Amino acid sequence: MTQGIQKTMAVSGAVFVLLLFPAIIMTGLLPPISPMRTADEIARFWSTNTGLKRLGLVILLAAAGLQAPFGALMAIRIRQMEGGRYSPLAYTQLVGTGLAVVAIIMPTFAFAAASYRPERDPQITQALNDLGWLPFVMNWPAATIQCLAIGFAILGATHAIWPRWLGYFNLWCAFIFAAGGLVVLFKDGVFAWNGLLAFWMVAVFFGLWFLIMAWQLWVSVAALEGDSVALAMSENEPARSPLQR
Amino acid sequence: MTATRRVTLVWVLLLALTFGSFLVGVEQGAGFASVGAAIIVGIAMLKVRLIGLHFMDVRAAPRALRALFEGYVLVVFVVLVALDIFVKP
Amino acid sequence: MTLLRRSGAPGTSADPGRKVPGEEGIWVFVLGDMTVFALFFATFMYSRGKNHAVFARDHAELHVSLGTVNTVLLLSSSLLVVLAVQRVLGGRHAGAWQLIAGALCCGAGFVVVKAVEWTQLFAARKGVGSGEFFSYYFMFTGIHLMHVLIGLAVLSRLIVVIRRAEFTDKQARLCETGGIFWHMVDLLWVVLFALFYLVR
Repeated sequence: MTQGIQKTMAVSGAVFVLLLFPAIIMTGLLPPISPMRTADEIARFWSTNTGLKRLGLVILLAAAGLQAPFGALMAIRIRQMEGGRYSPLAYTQLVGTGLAVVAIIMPTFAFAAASYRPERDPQITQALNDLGWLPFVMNWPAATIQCLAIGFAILGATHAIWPRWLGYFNLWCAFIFAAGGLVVLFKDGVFAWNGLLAFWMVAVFFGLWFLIMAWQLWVSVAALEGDSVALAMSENEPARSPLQR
Repeated sequence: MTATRRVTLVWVLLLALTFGSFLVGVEQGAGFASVGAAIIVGIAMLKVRLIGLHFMDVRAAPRALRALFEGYVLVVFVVLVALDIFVKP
Repeated sequence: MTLLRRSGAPGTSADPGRKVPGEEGIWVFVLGDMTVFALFFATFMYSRGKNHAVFARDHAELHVSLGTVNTVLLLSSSLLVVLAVQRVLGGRHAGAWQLIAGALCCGAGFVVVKAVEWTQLFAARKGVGSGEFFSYYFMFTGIHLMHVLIGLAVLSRLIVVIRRAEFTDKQARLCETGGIFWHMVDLLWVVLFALFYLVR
């Protein structure tokens, strides 16, 4: 695994976010349409600017996959931090990564269906819109699983690679991302899928998390340059990386 | 005084403030709603400050952290009272 | 007089003798959480301003006495935690675990009182969907309750750590850090209590 490959994987997370937000804007998902809108209003939404919206959805799908190499490199770091023959947290992280890709593509499919036949019954389009929005905002397990795996790996690390504040940051993000989980209970207010807390606050930290983790992954590549083989195999004394403050 | 005595006194003060604000909460009159709210929020933020400074030991922390904490207490107090005074139906 | 400082990272040249309480990273979590809760408080006060009559009416359904009991429980548990941490940092950690166990009992008491409160509210057919006041109430006190439960797990862990024969600086710092998390839980409740139970 060369440094070049690792750095590409590290950056893929940042690229994901930088593609995600324009794509979401193109699709008309930012700002989110209110859950209070009638079926006719939603049908009207999905029949306007269809070309731009569909292009946005295509980009969303393409971007979603970028989370895979990103999550995989994080799993490697977790494995290196845990040491030992098996790394339960690394495997948990990989499950989270898989879920994270699904978290984007599943709602995208629903929105694609909503957009596909503007002439159909608005009630059906509204149902597809709900099928897109609810999982899009509610899908906190994907994010929280990753954040908890990374957080616990850092705080309990046998070999320190990343600074401990990053572990606390991930544990905190795990909490924040769960805020979206209750949107099914609300049609308006701060906890609805377009709400200040369930959507906007989570969206801001979602983007920030990717950027911060991409940065930390990037920095760890050079720092581990000489040690990767030794770290992966070693089960002895904890080694201190130059990153550890 | 010893550290033990100090934190115990802080606790007594916190309880006193709790009961004090409980009385203000019960006594709020219609005409002085905003004053009552400001007092209650003020007492709450004072308690937050006491917990931070004495229980979390922020008073012995580097000035930057203390400044952040005190700044938080002040900003939250001001914002909450302002929202109470200025936000109308 | 401050808590006894053990050797660790020395204060920076700008702040000699001052040290970040607990492990530095915990403050990322604590300040972040405090900020998010500040956002909660602000959105609540804003909504209250817009809907004052409804908020005042629904606020009257809460039992201030139960809220006060809960506040006293958490404040007392924090005192017990501080006393325990003082002992631990002072190098005489024998007896500290009983103080933490006391704090744990207070925390458990908080959960019980909250359960009683919520049951009464549910019986009065109030839930998270019963208007703005109650959705804020259940959401925010619910999220806070999750913090309390995590805090109870943290305190339990501290008891285990303190009771172990081997006890170094690292364990001492863990106790201080865990204590800081618990104080945060207490501090957040203090504001929630004021906004929901006291402010009309």
